[in-house]
Amino acid sequence: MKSKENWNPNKSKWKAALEKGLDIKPKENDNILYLGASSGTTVGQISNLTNGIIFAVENSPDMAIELVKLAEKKKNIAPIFSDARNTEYIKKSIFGKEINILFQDIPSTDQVEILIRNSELLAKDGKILFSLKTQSISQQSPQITCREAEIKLNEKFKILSKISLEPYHKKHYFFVLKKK
Amino acid sequence: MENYEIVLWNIRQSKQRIKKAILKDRIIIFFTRVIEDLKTYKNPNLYGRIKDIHHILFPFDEDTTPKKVMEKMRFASLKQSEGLMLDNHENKYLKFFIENIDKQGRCKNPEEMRKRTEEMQKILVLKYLPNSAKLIEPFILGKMISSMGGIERIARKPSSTIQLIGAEKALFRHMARKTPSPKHGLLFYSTKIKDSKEKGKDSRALANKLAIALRMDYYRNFPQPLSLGFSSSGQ
Repeated sequence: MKSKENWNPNKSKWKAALEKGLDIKPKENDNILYLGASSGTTVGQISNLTNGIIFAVENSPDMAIELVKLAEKKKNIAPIFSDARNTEYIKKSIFGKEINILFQDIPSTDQVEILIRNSELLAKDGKILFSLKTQSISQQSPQITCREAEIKLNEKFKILSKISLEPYHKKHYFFVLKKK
Repeated sequence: MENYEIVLWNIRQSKQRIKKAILKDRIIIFFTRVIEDLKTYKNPNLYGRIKDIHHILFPFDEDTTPKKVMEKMRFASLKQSEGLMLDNHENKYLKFFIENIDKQGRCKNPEEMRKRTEEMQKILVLKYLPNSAKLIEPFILGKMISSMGGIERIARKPSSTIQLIGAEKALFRHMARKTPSPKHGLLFYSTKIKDSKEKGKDSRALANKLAIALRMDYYRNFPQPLSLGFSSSGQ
């Protein structure tokens, strides 16, 4: 498949955060829950780095078809065709595996609520990587929307670091969080 | 459970769920586009449409070279597919459609093809969208659905948007340069609007009725597999 050099920061939030200097590479046996996988450009690259399972959740049938095709080639991707708000179904298809990293990239108005809802699946010392698209929450200036989202996040999580993904993705912020 | 067992279970499960999520509106869009092709050109190359229907029926196929696609569509049984489920009537028509296309992708008899495709599209629209088909012609309804990209998207739009489908260019010109606003998009081709004297007023009234009818049809005749079994909050 694609080589590691092909990983484009303009198309992937994870790669853009790595370019910005965050240390968020997965360890060797980490299990990852990836919400908003789309056709699997980032998931395909991440699967080279770890031996654990990547659970990739996607909602739209056209994109999920590409994801299933990718999962048949690689051996450690488990595609889940479901709404990310439907935590019951996701919990059922994880089979009690311990989740070490939770990544979310969903451009929706209630993206913070979706993250809080899904964080119960995460292990106690797990990491949360969260990419916030401010434009889909409100049309006001991105700094104000980001501050409002931060207040909501502070109730449940501890914020380890926060950066903007400016040259690669416009009006996007990236958070690294921990459970309280 | 072992890791590979979980992966296999998930692949199998999501294939089944994707099959349920591919709705019948795809095949309505397919027929409408074939008619559009046959109307604009004398004898068009229909290989692209064969590729479309191949993607609907066998979405998980790896090999999509032209030779393989034509071979599969000709000889495989269309009923046992991984994608959309066909009933007897649709299956019969599709067989006719594929047999009438030669190796270069041209049809052998475009006149008959056009006649039968129009017939089939009308039957399908009357079956799945009975209420909205009473208001405007089936072909224009199919055109509107295909320009929005699905029945789900058009059913959730307000009536003022439905009124202006197909007039996007004029709408944005109006917003940017304050030219007079558009009154009708694809609705204009309906005989109800064409023959009336007050076109703007009538198209608004028609769009209002159409919005109600489309919602009724969508929630009655099309299943919504993903939303079953969980309650959405804050939406």
